[in-house]
Amino acid sequence: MANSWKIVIAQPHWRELEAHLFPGDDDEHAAVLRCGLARSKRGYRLLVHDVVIARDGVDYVPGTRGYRRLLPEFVSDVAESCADEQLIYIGVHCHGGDNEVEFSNTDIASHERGYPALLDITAAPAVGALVFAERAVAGDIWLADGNRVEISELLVVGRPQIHLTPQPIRSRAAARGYDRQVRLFGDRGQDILSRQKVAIIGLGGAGSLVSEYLARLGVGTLLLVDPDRVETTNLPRLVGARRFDAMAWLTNEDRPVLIQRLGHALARYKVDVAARVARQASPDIHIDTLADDVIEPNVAAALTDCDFVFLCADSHSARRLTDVLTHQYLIPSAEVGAKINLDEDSGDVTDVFSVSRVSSPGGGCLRCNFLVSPRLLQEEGKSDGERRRGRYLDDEDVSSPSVIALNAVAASQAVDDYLMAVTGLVDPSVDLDRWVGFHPATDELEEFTLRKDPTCTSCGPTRFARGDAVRLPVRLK
Amino acid sequence: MALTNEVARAIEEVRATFPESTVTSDEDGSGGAFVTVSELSIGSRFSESMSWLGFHITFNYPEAQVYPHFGVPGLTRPDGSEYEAGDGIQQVEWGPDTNKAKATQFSRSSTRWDPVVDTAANKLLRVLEWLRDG
Repeated sequence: MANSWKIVIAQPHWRELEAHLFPGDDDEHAAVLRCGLARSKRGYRLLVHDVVIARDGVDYVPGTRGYRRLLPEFVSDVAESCADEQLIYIGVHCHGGDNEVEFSNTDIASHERGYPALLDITAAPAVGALVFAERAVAGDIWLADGNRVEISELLVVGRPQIHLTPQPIRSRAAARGYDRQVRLFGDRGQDILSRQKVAIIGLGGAGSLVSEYLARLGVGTLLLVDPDRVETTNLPRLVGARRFDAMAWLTNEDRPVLIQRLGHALARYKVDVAARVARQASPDIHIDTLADDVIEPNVAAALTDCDFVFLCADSHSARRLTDVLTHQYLIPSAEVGAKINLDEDSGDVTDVFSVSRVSSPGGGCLRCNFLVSPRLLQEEGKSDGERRRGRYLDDEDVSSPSVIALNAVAASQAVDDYLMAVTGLVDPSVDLDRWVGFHPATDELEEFTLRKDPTCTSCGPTRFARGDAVRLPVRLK
Repeated sequence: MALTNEVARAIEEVRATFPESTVTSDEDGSGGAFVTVSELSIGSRFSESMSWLGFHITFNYPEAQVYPHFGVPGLTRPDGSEYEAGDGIQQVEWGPDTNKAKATQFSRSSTRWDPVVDTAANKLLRVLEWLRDG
């Protein structure tokens, strides 16, 4: 397990903090970040749950040893609230300067006097401090096991994403093959992409396109999740799929049922086809495949340290899990898909649309916008046999219309929005989320206005940035 | 095998809400449970006035609504005529795959299920009210 420590903060909280620290007066200001914790093989992430502002002249006052200090009553109140809510106390203040920053000797002495006691009060695995300059941050994290570590970076997740470090970091020169795209987002952008771990849930029509786009862009690691095998009817939409992958000559309807079953059992998993395509596109890419349902606990756990999640599967349990990953683990996500609605009686096409819903932590939530159905969550919690006995499965056995070009519109839009956000190219004035629908039958472009429920059980305070402290909504084994 | 904390709490709330009944539960292997509440009065709209009522609380609870509910098999109108699916009442098999049995299914979906206020217990109360009053 990597021992790096990183701070992740949602854009709305970052803007609140930045406005407080840098109001343009060149003075020092302070706050406390109350954080959840996420541990994985990639390291430790402190996830900012909220920002507690230290009011100038009230909570943050002239110091006796240094220029300013936090009043003990303020520190004590916030520390006790961290203990009550199992959050980690991270003190914050700012220095002057632009691109480099470090703690002063007075700062370090203050940590040495106060942080052992703070660890006791909060009973947390860590406490710590950050010091900011305009475009830099340094961290001093005290661990309950007695060790002390620096932070590797602070990541602002939103549109655009921002990476802050103690000093500027020189990016690796991009491989020559990326020359044309590096002319758009530079070696820095290519370096960011190469360090990304991106999950794709569902490797069907939309997901297989997303996977190839990401591989060709140079994303470093893909985590591909889909329990399904290739079927002959997938071939017109599945990138890189061959008739052999579907065992088409065995699954043909004129074959005996037993031979057809054998063919289905021997057909290649969709994740393996997508991995093959991605490796052809990007030989150095690292790919993990999980041919299983995303709401199995081990699969969902593997998603918690990704940098972005593309949801390309049409399950309400997966939608709910994606909401939770976005807001509990601060992992931005995109729901990608296309749908053709038919009139129930006549079978006539009533609507054709492609949709990309890019959501940032602290922003868009599928559940808040009525895209997670309590009734369908219940159905998905049952076995196939139970659903069939309740006579709910008949409709599901009827395949919906699906067309590659519709999937491509949604996949392209979602990957484009991802690319613009992570490479920092998107204008900071854009909205935090981008939910957009395309209706090719009517030439309509639909931009969604999002609803937010403050008590939401997916994005609200009971889960927001709490990381490993709250169980994921998955099956129990 | 285990229950999610939310499902375990829901079963306890059902027990507290129906203290006169026997509440049994069978884990479904995914964190949810098949729950049965014995000997409930279902009024005069059926061929029998008392029934057990059962339902499946899945691992997605409380975000997932508890739906549908089940009772003694073969329930008809008092005159013996059968209810139809359009009435929200039909004859099915219910229970775990390994222990399914015939039952009458009552389909009362909540259009605005809210996991903050809706629970398995208060949904059962609403289903009972519908069974008794139509």
